[in-house]
Amino acid sequence: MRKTLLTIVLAVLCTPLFANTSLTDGFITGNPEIGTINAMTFGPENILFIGDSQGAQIVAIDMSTAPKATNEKLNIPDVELLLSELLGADSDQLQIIDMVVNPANQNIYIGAQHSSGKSVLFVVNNNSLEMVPLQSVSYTATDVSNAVTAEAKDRRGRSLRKWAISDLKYANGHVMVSGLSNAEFASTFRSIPFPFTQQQDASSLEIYHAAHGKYETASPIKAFTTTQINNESHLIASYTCTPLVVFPLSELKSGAHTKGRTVAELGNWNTPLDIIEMEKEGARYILMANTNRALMKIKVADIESFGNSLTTRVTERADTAGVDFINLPFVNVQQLDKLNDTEFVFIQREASGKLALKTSSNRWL
Amino acid sequence: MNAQSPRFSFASDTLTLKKANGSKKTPFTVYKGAYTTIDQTIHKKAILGEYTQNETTINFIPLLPFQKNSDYTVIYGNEVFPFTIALNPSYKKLAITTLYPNTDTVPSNFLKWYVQFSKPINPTKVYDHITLINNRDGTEVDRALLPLETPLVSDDGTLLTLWIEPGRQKRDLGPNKRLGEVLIPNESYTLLIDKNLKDRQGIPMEMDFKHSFTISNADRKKPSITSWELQPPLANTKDLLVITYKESLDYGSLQNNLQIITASGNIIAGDFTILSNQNSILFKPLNVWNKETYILKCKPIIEDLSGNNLERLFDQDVTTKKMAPILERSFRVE
Repeated sequence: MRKTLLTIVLAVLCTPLFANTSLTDGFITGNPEIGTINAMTFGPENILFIGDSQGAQIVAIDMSTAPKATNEKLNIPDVELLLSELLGADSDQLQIIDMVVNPANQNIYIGAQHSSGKSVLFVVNNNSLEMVPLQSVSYTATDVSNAVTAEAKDRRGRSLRKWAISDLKYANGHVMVSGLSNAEFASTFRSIPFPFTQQQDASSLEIYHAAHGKYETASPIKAFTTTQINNESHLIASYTCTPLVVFPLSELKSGAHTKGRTVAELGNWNTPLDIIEMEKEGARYILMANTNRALMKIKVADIESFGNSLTTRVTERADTAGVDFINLPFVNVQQLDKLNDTEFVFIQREASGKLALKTSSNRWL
Repeated sequence: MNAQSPRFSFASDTLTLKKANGSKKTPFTVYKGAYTTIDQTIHKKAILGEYTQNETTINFIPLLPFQKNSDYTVIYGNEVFPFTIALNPSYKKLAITTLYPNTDTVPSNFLKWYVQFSKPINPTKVYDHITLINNRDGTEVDRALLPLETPLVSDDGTLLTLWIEPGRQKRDLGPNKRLGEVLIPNESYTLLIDKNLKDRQGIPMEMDFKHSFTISNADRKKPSITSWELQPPLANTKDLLVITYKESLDYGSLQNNLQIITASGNIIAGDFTILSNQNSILFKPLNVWNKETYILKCKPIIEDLSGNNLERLFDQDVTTKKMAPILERSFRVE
């Protein structure tokens, strides 16, 4: 008996020392009731974050039990046809909303939306798409409804407002979310600590950007990523009105009027879709997919060396201004993510009109 | 055309097979498209959905409802059954009920429209159906509206926000300097929304929508509530408070950004009706008005048609001194 008691006491005393803490510890199994998939990103430990505008929530799903897909010779020549067949709907009723790669196993996930508003998650496997059911998953979620001004409804009780999540990233223990409002031309950017807590820091940020030092606009951020610039964590964000802007993450404080510094203008009528970072031979590059421009490549070292003159008027080049960027020979790239250290995966509208999923090596960097 | 087999019945959200006596056949598969032989479907993917069964039927519930007037095919053993779900002839087609603003004139730095539809729209590729025409020569204005891959549609799916390309509206940005504003003063334009824009069932509109307007000079002034006219209701009634104003304001930004409070700060329950196309706002109280002084309280993000709000210009000159905005107006109920 005494031995048993000693064992129990020792076990209790030792538990904290041996317990593995995981970011998924507080996850529950069930249905996260995802309304729409608007943006996705992977964090550490196989955690997939989904931005759900309709449900006004960010959902974190543990994907660690998902089997590794077979993605050799990756090439789907007509993703729209495949989706149309699987969902039984015309292509113009379907849209690919986002594509992300799990860095832990290179599984590629695609979020698609039907015009009815229903979203479906797929994983790429053997050059086809397999549906990923979300009715029973290990997950946690946080409410982002206070990012939206309380519901306004018209006389028939219809909701008129919309806060659409435009991009989502995980960095430094935070989930960062940008959003567009259908009512105000304003910036909504939130940085939410993860694991999610009840006492959430209502870190809704006022983010502005200045046009060459004179005019500033509370413009919405469209797409962003995080990277190290001069050994400090920065947000690289692109706006709906073309500038590419950098902020130190340390300046993103709740309630602060944070002004980003413009490093480049990306050209007229162009909204960035995805921004990723790739590395080659010790040099780091930002790759950016855009609605109306080719895939752009920017050397991070150029942004770093541009640092001293960010607040002054930049010299204009042809159609854009700021740091040099190179247009890569990939046009109409609609989705982009890093597949592994040497390859990126992308979905491209080809000259034939077909939407193809392909990969490319970093020889272009 | 419905299936040739009496054993199948079809609805938008279910396909039902009556089991033959003692039948142990594997469930059927359903494909998008009209096929006459099994060979034609060999390289096709079957539609995703769930199968359920009871003693007499096997049911297939597709992940998404079958589209109306579209071809599908069931493969059951060696049998092939093409089918369609017909659209109800009395189906009410999608229409545009209101455009905000619908004024004949907008400033050259005008920022956004809201299009109110009669029912939820298909947001996919919605910009392919919307163009801005210069009425002088009937040509399309190049790159006028900002295409967002996730269009800004209200949660109920009926209100679409259209942004004039903001890079060209903001002073000193490259596109503004090289190309100028999208809209040129004294010119006349037509917003055209073609009838191929569809609803969520995939059914297009009945007809094109056109709205013509002319352009005035840029608006570089913040709106102000000091010039708003408030017509106070009578005490002991539930009469409307009527607010009118001269400068047109942005429909979306007026939603939910207004409040009526008492002098001591208590919120008055009631409903606002935003009649931005008539330059007026109505407030209907839930309870009767008392004989006292009330305050109309506005949030600073209320905008005019050019994105200038009560607090700041769309493109604020950072070298000018900021003034605190006036956000409250009091009125006396007698």
